[in-house]
Amino acid sequence: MVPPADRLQGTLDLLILRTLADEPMHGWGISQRLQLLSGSMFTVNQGSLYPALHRLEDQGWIAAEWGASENNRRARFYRITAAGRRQLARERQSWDAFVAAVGRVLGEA
Amino acid sequence: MLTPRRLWRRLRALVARDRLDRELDDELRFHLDMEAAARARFDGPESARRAAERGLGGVLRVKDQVRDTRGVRPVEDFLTDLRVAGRGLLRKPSFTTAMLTTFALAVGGVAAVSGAVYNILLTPLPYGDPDRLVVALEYHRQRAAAQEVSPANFLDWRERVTTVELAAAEPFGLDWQSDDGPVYLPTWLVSERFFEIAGVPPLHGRGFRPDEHQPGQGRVVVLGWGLWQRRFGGDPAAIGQRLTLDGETWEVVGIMPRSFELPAGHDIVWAPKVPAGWEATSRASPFYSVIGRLRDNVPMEQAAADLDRVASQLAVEHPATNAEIGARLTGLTDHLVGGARRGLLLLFGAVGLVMLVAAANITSLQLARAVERSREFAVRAALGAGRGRMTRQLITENLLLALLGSALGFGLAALGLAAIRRLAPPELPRPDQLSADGTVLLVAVAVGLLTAIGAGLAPAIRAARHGPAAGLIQGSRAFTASRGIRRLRAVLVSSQFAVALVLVVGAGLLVRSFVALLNEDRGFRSEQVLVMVTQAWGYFPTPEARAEFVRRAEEGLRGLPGVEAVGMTSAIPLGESIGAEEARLTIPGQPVDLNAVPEVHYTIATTGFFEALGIPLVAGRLFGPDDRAGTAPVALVNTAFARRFFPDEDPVGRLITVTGRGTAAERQIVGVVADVRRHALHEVARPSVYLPHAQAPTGAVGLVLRTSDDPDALAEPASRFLATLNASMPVSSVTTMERLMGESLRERRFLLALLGAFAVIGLGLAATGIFGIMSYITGERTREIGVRMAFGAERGQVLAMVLRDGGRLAGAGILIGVGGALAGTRLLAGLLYQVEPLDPVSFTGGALLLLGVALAATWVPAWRAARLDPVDALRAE
Repeated sequence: MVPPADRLQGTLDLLILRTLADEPMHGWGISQRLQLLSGSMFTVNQGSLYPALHRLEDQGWIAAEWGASENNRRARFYRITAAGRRQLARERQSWDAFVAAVGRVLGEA
Repeated sequence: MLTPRRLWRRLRALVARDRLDRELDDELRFHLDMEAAARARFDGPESARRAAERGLGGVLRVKDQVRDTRGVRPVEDFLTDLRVAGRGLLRKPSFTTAMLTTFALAVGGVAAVSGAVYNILLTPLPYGDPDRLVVALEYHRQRAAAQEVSPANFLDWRERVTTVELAAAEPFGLDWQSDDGPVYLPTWLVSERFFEIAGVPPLHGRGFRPDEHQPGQGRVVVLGWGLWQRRFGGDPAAIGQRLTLDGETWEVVGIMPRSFELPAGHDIVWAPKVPAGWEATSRASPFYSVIGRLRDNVPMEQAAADLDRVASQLAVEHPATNAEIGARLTGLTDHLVGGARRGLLLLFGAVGLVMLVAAANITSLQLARAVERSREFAVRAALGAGRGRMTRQLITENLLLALLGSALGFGLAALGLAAIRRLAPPELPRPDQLSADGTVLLVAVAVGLLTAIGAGLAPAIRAARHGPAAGLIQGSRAFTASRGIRRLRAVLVSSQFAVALVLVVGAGLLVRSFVALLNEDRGFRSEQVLVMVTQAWGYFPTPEARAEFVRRAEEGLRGLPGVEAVGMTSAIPLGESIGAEEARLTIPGQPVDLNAVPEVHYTIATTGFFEALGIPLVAGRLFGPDDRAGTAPVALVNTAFARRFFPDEDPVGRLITVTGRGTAAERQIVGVVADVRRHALHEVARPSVYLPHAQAPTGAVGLVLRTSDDPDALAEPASRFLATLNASMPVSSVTTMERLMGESLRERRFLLALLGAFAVIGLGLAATGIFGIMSYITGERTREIGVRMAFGAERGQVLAMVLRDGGRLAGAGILIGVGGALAGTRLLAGLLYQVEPLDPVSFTGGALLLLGVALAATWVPAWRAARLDPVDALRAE
């Protein structure tokens, strides 16, 4: 089952930051990684990936530069910044709180 | 949160837009290539590619969304709108020209006049705390007129009035023997603390010390700015220079700044007033200009009451002189500017009218164009443009027009103000304020924006409201103007003509007044007359010497080549005052009312004066060689005098006593001369008495020379001849009668020029308006005209039809305008001369002129309509 794309939008930032926390990547690589790690549970609507990436870049949480990809092609690589790491921690916290809350409600039922 | 970093990114996004777009292209292409390569293992290369693109979900949309994240979308949109607007304007040059011209004229006119009105009327005078400055005048109850203050009255006022600190300035003149020859310096003799009371410190040097107002002291002067620039080169080293004034050595101690012109002028000097003995009791010679500063926290009313109280005291203490004398206290600003207020406000009204015409023009142009563009908007709406987006674009178009129009208008205003400054009559106060400064710019921008938004908004909203389907399906029907629009257009055109008529009629009235004034018999001839003035008192100290001087001057000047007649007078018609002119009159045998001794105007003159100016003799004789010192005193009177004091009898031979400065004898009237206007061409001549110079040798000598050629050519020779009679006596002014006439008409001419200009502008705008509208209307009716012609209508009939329509629109406006003018022209009443505010000639002429203009403007579209080929017309959409 693939969750509808818009529910992913809100958490997309979190996922991107987490992915880039490990190592810098280009846009396609990020989409592949997300697909892989989630066990193909989400196929991120690739159309919303790039707007999200550029938005995060505008906010200063990730930085971008052009580099050579693994097959020696020119690609735009993104990496997380210090501010981005701080934001990741914040987002992680609020996600955990959200999940805990949902869990509590479900647990009650 | 807009950090500097993000601001930097936004700027970069604006500037390097193309580069960023290309990078985005590259990035997405990389993604698609990688994705396609990955899928190619399972699908074929073709479907892999397509699948990759599907996965991305529409490359264009992704790009658009990324661009949104750059945060500069609104700015980009605005810039795009501007570019589109600009291109659209360039594509329709006639529309654009019409709009911009209208805009520029309207904005320029309003900005110039508003700036002038605001700066002249509302900005404070450049004197310290100008609200506390007042002008004090005497008020003569019998004559019901204000006048200057007599010396003894001033002294008492100053001593007894506690709420205002008063200072006086006496008009005087000093003859300066400069390195360039004798120069006459108009001088104000000022009382103690004059500059302190005015609240303006000198630019250089100092004012006067208290001890300098003592007898024997006071040989110091302060220079006016204009004089300092002209004669001293603007050099601060002028301070300390010694000048020979009136034969004595004076020292320059101060220089006043450019803005200081109290009581009047800056091409002058100030000197300390040293009181002369006789002034302590002189209460019937009003010639002091008195200013004052209200003491702290004293309201004007209280000070005025205080002054009234003192004036009443003096009326009781000195009934012979002061019984009729009251006092008037006015704010200095009001005093200087008040007279101009009405004229300026009238101008304001006229400009407002032009503004209305322009606004109507702009609105109807916009409306017509909006209707024309309906299809364009319908198509764009069908292609996905949001209503908000289209409205925004229309507003941007209007803003662009407004900006351009404001800029042009400001330029026009600057030119106009410069022209006004040059042509303005001296009566216009504070002409230095007539410059295109920040106020004018502000008004220009504000008016431009308001007009653009106001006039353009309604059509914009209407156009944007069209649903997309209606436009394309219903064909051309949907794009003719609805009835509401048509009615609005008719109203706009008619109102333009109504307003234009009011302006034209107003201008016509002024023109007729002006012409009447010029043709008026002024009682003397003004062509080819040279006028020279000199004050001979100091150079010919005795009466005999002065009488001899005048006699020899007349004789010698008469001998100059080109001179036909020479005369002397102490009061030059239409000229400034050079000597005393008021006297009290008693007629032996007629009852005298001590409370109301009649005052008459008196002039000291020679026979040559009447000859030179062509003043006709009505009865009796002029002065003769036997009328001199030692013989029986005689006098001439004018017809106004004869009518007033000897209504039923011949004044010749009767005795009168004229008491004024320098004369008090019983005289016999030997002749009556025609009336002469003294101060202005439109005034009523006052009863006047003429005394022969030989019997009353005044030093106030005005010489009039009638020449056969150009009077200016004789200025040199005449001055040189006078120098032979006394080398150190300066000639204080040389001019011609024509110039004096021109000066006296200057204010009227100025107002006429301005109102005329506005009338022409208004007319032009109205003509443009009706031309544009009729063009559009006939364009819309092309098919109908084709039908009519197909059914047999002649070209001439079509022509007549269009002309009739145009004429009807204009005619309605003209009728309304006549109504407006009937009501409004009474505002001009004070400026008219021998012309009624409801003068039928002006009204009829104005209406016919406007009708003619309307028909002329309608002619071109009518002609084009008549020349239509019916087949083409029917085929047109």
